[in-house]
Amino acid sequence: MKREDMELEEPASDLVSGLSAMPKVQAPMGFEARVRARISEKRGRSPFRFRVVPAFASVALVLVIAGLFLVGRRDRVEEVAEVSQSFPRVESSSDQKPAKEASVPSDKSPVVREVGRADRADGLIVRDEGAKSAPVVDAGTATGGRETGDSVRPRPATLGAAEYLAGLGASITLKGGQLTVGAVAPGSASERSGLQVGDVIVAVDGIAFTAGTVLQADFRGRVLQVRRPGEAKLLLLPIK
Amino acid sequence: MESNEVKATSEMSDNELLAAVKSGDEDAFSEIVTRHKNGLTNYLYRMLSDYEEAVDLAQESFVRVYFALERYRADHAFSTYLYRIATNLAISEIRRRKRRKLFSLTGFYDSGEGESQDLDVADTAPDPGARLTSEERSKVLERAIVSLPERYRAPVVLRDVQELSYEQVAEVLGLGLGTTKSRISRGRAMLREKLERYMR
Repeated sequence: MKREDMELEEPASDLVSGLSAMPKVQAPMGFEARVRARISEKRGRSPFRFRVVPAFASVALVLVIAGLFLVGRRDRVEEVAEVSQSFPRVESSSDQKPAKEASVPSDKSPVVREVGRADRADGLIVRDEGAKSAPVVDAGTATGGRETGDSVRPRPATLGAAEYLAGLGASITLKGGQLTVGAVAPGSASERSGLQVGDVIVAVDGIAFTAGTVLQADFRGRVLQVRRPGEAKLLLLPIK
Repeated sequence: MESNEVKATSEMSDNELLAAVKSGDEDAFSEIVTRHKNGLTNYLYRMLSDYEEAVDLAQESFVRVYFALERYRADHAFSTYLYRIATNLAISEIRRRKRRKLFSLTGFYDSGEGESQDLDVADTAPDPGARLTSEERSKVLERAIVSLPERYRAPVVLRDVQELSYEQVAEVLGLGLGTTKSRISRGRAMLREKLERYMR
């Protein structure tokens, strides 16, 4: 003991000894149980579970939030299928030009022309009058599209944005007002063209591609203009 | 003991037990309570001279320790932390009683200290010349302690009844060591004065 402490103790040593000799009272039986009960009361739970319920509650809350988020995403994807019907129709410029037909003199050998982009852009179809035409199959064409004999190829059906891309094997979601590719079917025209999930389709053949865009259902030869995350410039993806 | 052996709770230190409680070990908290319940109850009884109240506040002290676990830092001994909580509860109770004027001891307030009361047990006092039995002495001491102002009562009880060191008492009360010793000294002097007056 330090000297100053000894000096503090000595004058009161008899008193101090008397105080330290006082009988020590003890806690009653069931003291611990009562403490646990008070803790539980304060938590508002049944006894003996100090920390379990908050952990479970946290996990349950996370699962509920995740479930709500997933349900919300599914509803939004389903909404996309109705977008083209509910939006006012905005016809692209190519729709206004009816398909034209030009005849080739029969004394000339049948001209096999590769139908290029220019031909399709204005709807011009070149065919040999005398030749039987192979049926033209357009993917996703809703009405008509098959040619028979000398008949004029019927005008392709018009499709809304979602249906158009569905015909190419891609599905889109409307995200922030942009048409974003949500899925690309393996082996589809979209995949062959290089379309990827996450791409934002900006235009088709230079025509702005919005939820309200309506296009003819002739896919081949068209070029998608796409904004891809991470790419500085717009990508041009010819439909194959 | 191998490092990967699990210690029995009875062998763990207070801070080790508290760490286990934070991890969800309920038995560890029960061990903490068992370890300190008697000392804490005795301390609060000496402060309040009311057993039921002492038990109630001792339980409340442990409840408060439990809910403050996240903030507890093992910088100091757990016992000083526990006694600090108990002391604050006891002082609050003392002040509450004072407002309600429930002191059983009669007498006048010492305006100089602001809180002390005379120890008045003359009506039941035995023959002053007779030697007090230890039980009677304890009762007298008990009453004398309760008559001390709170600023001196806690230091004296912590030091002389609970036998904490001066440093521990200072830590519990949040006082400097010099102030703590001064208050203990003054408290003892007041006790001695009261006992001498009682014995006259």
